[in-house]
Amino acid sequence: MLSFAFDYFLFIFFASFGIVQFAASKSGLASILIFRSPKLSRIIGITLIVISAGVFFLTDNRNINDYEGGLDANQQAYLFVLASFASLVATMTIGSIRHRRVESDFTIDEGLGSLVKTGYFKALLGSMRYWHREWKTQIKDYLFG
Amino acid sequence: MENTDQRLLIWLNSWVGKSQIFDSVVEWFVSDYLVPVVLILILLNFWFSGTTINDRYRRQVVVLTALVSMALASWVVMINNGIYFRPRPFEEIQLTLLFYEPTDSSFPANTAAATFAISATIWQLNRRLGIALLLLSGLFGLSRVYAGVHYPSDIIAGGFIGVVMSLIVTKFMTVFEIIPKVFIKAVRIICLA
Repeated sequence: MLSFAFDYFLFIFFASFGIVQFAASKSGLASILIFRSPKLSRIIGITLIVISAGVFFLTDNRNINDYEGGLDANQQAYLFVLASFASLVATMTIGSIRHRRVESDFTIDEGLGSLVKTGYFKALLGSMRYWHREWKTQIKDYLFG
Repeated sequence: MENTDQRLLIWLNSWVGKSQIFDSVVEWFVSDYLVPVVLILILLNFWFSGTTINDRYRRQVVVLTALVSMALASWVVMINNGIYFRPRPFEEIQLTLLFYEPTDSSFPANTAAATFAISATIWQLNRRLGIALLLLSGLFGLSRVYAGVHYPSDIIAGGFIGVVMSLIVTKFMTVFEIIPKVFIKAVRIICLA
């Protein structure tokens, strides 16, 4: 079961990494792309998805019952969340390292849009600083306004 | 109905073994890990797509709606399974299996409920992609009948639950727009929406 779970984790980790690269290249979120060229990032993204799926399905029999070493629906869901979260952390870390020299360009309510120019951790830091100062007066208007 | 259901299943399953290549493709396609993973990856793509904040917001609401629809559809199937248990077709009829032997109730198909819930929700954002995904979900269900683990009526009922849940959750999200709005704005604080 552990080996199966690990294989599934790796499959989802790389497939999620690939799909985020694909989506980010199309929506202009340059600071989370691993390559400067959006086209190259898109190609790498699709390649990662295809290779991770190929390796997962072609290296072993994946039609196994959960009590014989496979995963039940809950385990699949937990592992998916865990692997895609790990993949996001990896994506944001690589992007932040690549964009470490860019000045923080935080604008309130921009969310993912701030990743067009700024690395994730700089944008997050800017947001945390802002909300640490302003949450008492602004948070209600921001969320419900 | 029961008879038509069985006849259709037996006819479809009678094709197993005629082409080794086709059966191998079905064994791959029928897996718990292919079509469901493809659908969730499409949702992940939607979450990070969009060039303007409004475009992203619209897509992210669809992602939330799809996930809630899928969870509710699975919950309805789980409740139904506690009330009514239908044995798997291979327990009652001599079939050639292309899949492992599941032990849970055959009716309704949980996989069909989940995949149709996601596809029907995506259809509301993008008609072309939605139709393609509804067809993919239908083929996924059909492959499970071919593989001998579901009756056709299990798939139809599962798909129906999925689509109905999607419509209900979409309506709910439209009426109570504040719920996805607050959630997405909260996630924007950590720059992930």
